[in-house]
Amino acid sequence: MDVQPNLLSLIDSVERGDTSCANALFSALYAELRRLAARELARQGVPLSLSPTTLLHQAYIEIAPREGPSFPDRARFMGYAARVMRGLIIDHVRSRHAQKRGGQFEITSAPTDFEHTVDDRELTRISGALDELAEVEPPLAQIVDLRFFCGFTFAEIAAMKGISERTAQRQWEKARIYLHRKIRSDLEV
Amino acid sequence: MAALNPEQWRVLSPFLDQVLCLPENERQAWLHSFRTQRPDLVDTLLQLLENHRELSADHFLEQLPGDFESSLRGHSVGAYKLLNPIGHGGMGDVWLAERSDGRFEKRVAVKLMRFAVASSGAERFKREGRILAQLAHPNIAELLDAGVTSSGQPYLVLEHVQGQPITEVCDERKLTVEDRIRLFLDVLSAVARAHANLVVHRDIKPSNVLVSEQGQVKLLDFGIAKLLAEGSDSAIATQLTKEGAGALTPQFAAPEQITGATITTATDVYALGVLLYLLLTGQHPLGSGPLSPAELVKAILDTEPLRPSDAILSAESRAIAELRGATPEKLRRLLRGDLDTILGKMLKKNPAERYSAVGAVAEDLHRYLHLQPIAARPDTFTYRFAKFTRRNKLGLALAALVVIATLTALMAINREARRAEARFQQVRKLARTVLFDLNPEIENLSGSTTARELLVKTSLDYLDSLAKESGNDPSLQLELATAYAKIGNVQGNAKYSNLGHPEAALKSYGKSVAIARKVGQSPEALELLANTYSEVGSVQVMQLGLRTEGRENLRLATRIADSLPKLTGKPYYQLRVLAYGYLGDIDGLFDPVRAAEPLRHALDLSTEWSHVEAGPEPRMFAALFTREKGDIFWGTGDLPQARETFLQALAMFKDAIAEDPANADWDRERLVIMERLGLVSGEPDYFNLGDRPAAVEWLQKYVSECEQRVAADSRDQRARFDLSQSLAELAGAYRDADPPRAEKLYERSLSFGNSAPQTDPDADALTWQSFARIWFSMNLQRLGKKQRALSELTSAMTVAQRLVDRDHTSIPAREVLGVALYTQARQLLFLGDAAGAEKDLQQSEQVLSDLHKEFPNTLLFFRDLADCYQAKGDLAAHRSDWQAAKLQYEKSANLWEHWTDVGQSTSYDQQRRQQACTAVRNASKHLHEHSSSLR
Repeated sequence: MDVQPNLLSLIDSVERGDTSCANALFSALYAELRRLAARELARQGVPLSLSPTTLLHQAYIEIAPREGPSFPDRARFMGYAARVMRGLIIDHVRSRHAQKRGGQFEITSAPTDFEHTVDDRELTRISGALDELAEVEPPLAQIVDLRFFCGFTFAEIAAMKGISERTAQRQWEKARIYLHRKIRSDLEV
Repeated sequence: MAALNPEQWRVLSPFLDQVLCLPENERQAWLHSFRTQRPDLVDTLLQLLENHRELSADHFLEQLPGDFESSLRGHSVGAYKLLNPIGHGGMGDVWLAERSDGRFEKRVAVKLMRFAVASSGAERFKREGRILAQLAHPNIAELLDAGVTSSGQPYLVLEHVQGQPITEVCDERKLTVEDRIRLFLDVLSAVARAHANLVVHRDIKPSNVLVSEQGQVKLLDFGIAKLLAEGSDSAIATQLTKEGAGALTPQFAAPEQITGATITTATDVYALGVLLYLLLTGQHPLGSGPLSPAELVKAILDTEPLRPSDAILSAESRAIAELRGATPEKLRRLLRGDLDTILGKMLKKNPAERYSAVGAVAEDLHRYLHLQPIAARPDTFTYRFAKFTRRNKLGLALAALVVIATLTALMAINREARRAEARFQQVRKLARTVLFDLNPEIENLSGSTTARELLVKTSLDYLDSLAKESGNDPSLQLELATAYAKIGNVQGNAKYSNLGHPEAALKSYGKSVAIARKVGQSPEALELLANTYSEVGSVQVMQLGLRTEGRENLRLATRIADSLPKLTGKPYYQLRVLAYGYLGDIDGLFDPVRAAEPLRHALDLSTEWSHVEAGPEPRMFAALFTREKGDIFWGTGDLPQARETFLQALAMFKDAIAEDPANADWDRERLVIMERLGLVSGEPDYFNLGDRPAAVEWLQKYVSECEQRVAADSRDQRARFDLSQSLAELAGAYRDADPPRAEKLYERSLSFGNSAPQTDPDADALTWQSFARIWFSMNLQRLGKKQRALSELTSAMTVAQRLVDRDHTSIPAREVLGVALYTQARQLLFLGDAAGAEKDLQQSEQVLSDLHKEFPNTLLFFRDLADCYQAKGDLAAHRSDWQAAKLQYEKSANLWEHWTDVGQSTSYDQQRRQQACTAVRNASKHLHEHSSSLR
């Protein structure tokens, strides 16, 4: 079995300004979340889908006690985990779409809802734009991660970040404006 | 749109905050004052607000990517193991699956539902599933099982159907209106079956109506909506109706589905109407433009559909018409009138005003098609009003008599085809449709073939001119029609002594039908039509490979025949018995089980008939169908039952003949039984019981009888063919026990093929001959005459290849090619040419596995393919590649094992299976020895 990553120490390093640990933290969290997701889904007798929100809650419940009392609180944890969740979701959607697009495709009953799902290419564009936004106005990017990718409600986000719900909503709208414009102008180039 | 750089954004961001805080109505004022403060920024800010409006309208980022799903690959659901996901539907995901216990069966589709059911719902779900699973119909995708996993997740196991939506197929193949309607009739047949079982589909749409490569229609998802609604909790049920309504395709929804009124069979009729409308006009009845769901719902409830013929008026009508093989004008013409009416009635808003039953729709569509499924386009006749009949009555009568007399005489000889199992199963019928009172001498006249050809030609010429002059006298017309039909039989219907020109036969039949139809609905005309359509169908299927058309004609014949009792009050036994008998033949051609129904019908009818009427004929038919029942047992591997049934039939024949001993025809049928009994007893190339002495006895008798026939008329092609076949079969029985004797018999058998004049080499005969050569080569091989063996095989292969090239849909041709190839491979291997053997085996496997896939219910192809794998195994063994050998032997054993999935197991297959398993063990042994010697 692999050694459990010491997330606490990684977080501490990053917060002390050691940016080189950021990647390590990302990878560690990614692996952890992925493992948890797989475990949940593999359980027979459970509805076969798992929402990101549930996964994150589950993850925190498991990791925090394990790491010790100085492990960041839920809100801070989500701050890091949300970005990771973005990556996890995009990877998942990409692999799903790979199945759909590949080769011979025999259908017993044709699906009717393909048009409404977001595809991985669009998600990748969003992710790229988000990374840029994270440089320009980080709180906005984080709102998008929390809301769009992790599925938290405005109320939960507000509680996590210590802001009002209205502020959260406004930040969300701003973020949307930024991303939409960025993506549109990129596509036009 | 210009990109926004980070600096710009940072500057604008706080102002954006401010304006976004404000409600819409206050923003104007704010912007106004902002303009005076920061005129450099205001335009960009306005742009951003505009962007915001746009993205809101686009619902940008409002649809979350969704949840994680597990990969269920390899998981078990019920008795099945999931392989690959193949679709995500509105109600759940669909996976390709196979049986967990490794039994070789068709792959299935497992549909996992997205919700869960409580334990009470689960039982209901399963029960409903069982009801739906009984909807067995060739055009309905079978629901194999319905269940609920331990966690409460419902699932359905469905037949895995490979095909495209019917709309796509029709467009891709540019099917005409008529073709589309015919295809649609298959859909109707499926829906009718379900309705008869009180199941309403509720969700008929193109994606649920698939058409396979072979043109077979399959309906999916029958009644599943109902199943789901009933199988779930009430809480979930509401959720589902919401989901269900979302999953419901509004385009095909009937008004009552939207208003929530009762769903009935008429609901399906509506959806079928929309589908037919789409197929015929390329458009939706409620409008061609994109409609929002709300608009669509409103339209469904309120808007009257446009008449189909009027729908072909738009700009795209050229493209639409082209996809239907017509011009817009022609398409309009085709649709105007009947089709307008039919579709109008299907699409009525009020269910009570629609067709109540799918069968009624089918009837009207048939009427529209004018009962026209006939390949041979008849010449048009113009009947001139002439005093011809009165003036030339005597001459005409005499002429007619000569023609009819000769033809009837010629017709009196019918032959039994030589096929066993799933090869050409041409069962001969005794068509004693004697139309005229004739002198017994004339009736039993048999003439030589050349004389017949001449007579046929002159008769045909005479009839043609007669037809032109004969006016409108219906009785005369019917005589003419009958005469044409009889000529057709002689020209090229393999059921009778014929001259080998099937296309010409169809032409004559076409003429007959055209005349008979003009005569109208009189019982005589209908009777003639029923008979003629039967003949047409048989010729099309058996001799020209036109399977679908032929079958259609045969079915038509049964329908016409069945209509006669109602029309006249007379039972018309013979006619109906014949019609169903023919249909059973064709149905059972490569799928013996399918023949069972029409055959049973025919047998029942003939039994009923024999109770009502004395005389040999009904008994004869009953005997005939009993023989065919035996053929079905044979084809499905139930050999003891087959032999029993044949013996039964033989007894029945003997009884029937006793009532009319002078009748040569009846006697011939008896001969055929003897052949069957010989083959099933112990002829190695057929499914047999291993009783060689019995086989020899029967076959010897059979050969003697055939000899007698040929002695009577050496130019009778049929008789020569029969003798040739009988000799080869007898040779087969001797092949292992007395090879030299077998050799002589084979030589004689094949000499017939060479010396008889072949004006138009009958594919039937050639195929059979190729098989005989293959067997002969095996015999020669055994005698050590390797070169000769090889040359016989080469002849067989050349002919087989040519036959396949000529008609690549011909199943017997493909089979003989496949068998020839592996037989040749074996011989090459024996001579040391492993490379040549490999090439042949590759090709053989290709041909035979295709056949097996296409006809998974035909045991014959199991055997052939298993033998091919065996040969492949032997090749690998020859090269000491024991790994590969084991694999091939396993494949062979596997096929024998799955024999029982399709048919009865007897010593025949069990022995072969044993052999295959022994070969596997042997190969394993070698493998271990080999590897242990390496260590």
